[in-house]
Amino acid sequence: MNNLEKLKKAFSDALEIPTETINDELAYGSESWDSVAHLALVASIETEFDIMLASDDVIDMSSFLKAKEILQKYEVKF
Amino acid sequence: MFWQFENIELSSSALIDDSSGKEISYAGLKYLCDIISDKFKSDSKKLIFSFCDNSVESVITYLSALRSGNAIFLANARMDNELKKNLIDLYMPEIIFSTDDISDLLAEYAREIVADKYTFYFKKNIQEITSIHPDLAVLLSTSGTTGSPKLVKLSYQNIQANAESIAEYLNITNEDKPITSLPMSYSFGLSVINSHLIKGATILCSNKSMVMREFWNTFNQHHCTSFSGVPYNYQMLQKLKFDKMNLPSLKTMTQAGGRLSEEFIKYFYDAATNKGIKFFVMYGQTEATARISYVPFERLGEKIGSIGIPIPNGEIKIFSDEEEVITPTIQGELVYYGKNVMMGYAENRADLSTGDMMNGILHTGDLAYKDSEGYCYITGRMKRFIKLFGLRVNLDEVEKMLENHFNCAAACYGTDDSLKVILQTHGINVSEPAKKTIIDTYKLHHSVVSVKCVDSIPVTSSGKKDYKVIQEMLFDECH
Repeated sequence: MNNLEKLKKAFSDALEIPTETINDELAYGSESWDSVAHLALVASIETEFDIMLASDDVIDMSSFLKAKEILQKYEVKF
Repeated sequence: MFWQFENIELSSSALIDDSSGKEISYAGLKYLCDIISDKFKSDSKKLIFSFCDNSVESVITYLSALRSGNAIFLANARMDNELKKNLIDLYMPEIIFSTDDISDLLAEYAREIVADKYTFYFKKNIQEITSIHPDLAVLLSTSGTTGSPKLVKLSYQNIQANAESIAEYLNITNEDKPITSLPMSYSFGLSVINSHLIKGATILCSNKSMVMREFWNTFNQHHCTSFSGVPYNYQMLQKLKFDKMNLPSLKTMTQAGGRLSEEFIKYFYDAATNKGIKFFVMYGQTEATARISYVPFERLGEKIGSIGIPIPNGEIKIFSDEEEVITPTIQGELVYYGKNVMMGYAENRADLSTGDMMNGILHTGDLAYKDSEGYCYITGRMKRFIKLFGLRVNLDEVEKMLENHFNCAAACYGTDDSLKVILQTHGINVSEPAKKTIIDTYKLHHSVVSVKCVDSIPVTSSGKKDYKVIQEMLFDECH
């Protein structure tokens, strides 16, 4: 699995949506991405990439696109 | 009554619309409520459905219903359309307010936009249907967005009494400025609005989520003084390193809506102490309008794990086998007495005509005991017992034990021949040690216990563990 697939898997697991429906436009508030799912999503990403997200990044992660940008700070390349 | 805005400085700010930044004074609020109330007027008392969020329009529609003497059901706008339709069919509201366009659902209603941004649907042919009891003010669901047709009926006296008690113990003043961090269709969220309006405070009406940066930017920009949350909000806040967050205007934070684990309470107690703010751990039920008890902040450090003492003008007694337990530490059912105890439940339109059935007494179904100072501790739910080989196992106690032992959320489901447990461990597998702990603690046979580690435990929209979904999930596991 490359990093993009890993990230999609993390989103898919946490939000319980099929990976095909995940694109850059997917944002907080859409689909099942609510505050409860956000907690699960953060955990899912941390496990998938074996990192610890800083609190600033947790509250900035408002879309799939934003998640990709944030992860680059943790040396995850897309 | 708080919806009359008596003895309140009318020039002071009542609501702030987070989306536009616009402020509405109490005088302005009164004026807007009069315009909307006018639309609700008729010869007989009506039922209004409000599919609301935390917008200024939702709050004003609610207050207008109270001021015009009509009954209002506050339902989450995010509920799906099928559930909305089902509730409309059962309760036959004469008027519907909705923040989203739901015209497609409402063939028998005429859409009208009032004062530019309030969308109402008025029933076209109003037939003679059951009358609505004069005391009935508000209907609330106990299940959030799952759309159970069973609603809690609250009277004018209920909402007023609970708002007075809450404002008193939280020491709310007109200087306070809470942000609406919980949905107003949820009893806890609504109690924040009521208890602040009664004191002439300023409410920041926001639909933003506590997990997003904009929420905290808004909080700071408007110098908000308080927010409220259910356990998962606090779990998230710990993840956000609340102790290091810069929130200079914050004075008070409140928690209710389920048990926050002792470790989290300790963390927030320490953080609050360091920041010079107050943290209130509270307990309640929608059946009691919202609030039943609270822990005074000065005592929280020594009363971690307690749900505290009854709110002002309320009383708590513990009953075991229909007799009151006077001796501290003896467990029984927590029974609450107060003017905020609901009128009763409704399951359809006909049930709206009946008056108070409760006489101010609420059997909460929670098992609890009091310590020597009268502080209450919940030990479980009466109905959440299973009998394994004749042995009574309290599912909540198992959960609490596992949560404290493994430092993660736990949920149990059981029948009389099995105990199934899920642990929210975020990828770490502790199934075997957890199973061993349960077997050793409760002296159970290994064949009846199963443990599974998951990434997240299903919760309802109000953040409580969703046992219906958990049960289905665990049922599927073994078939």
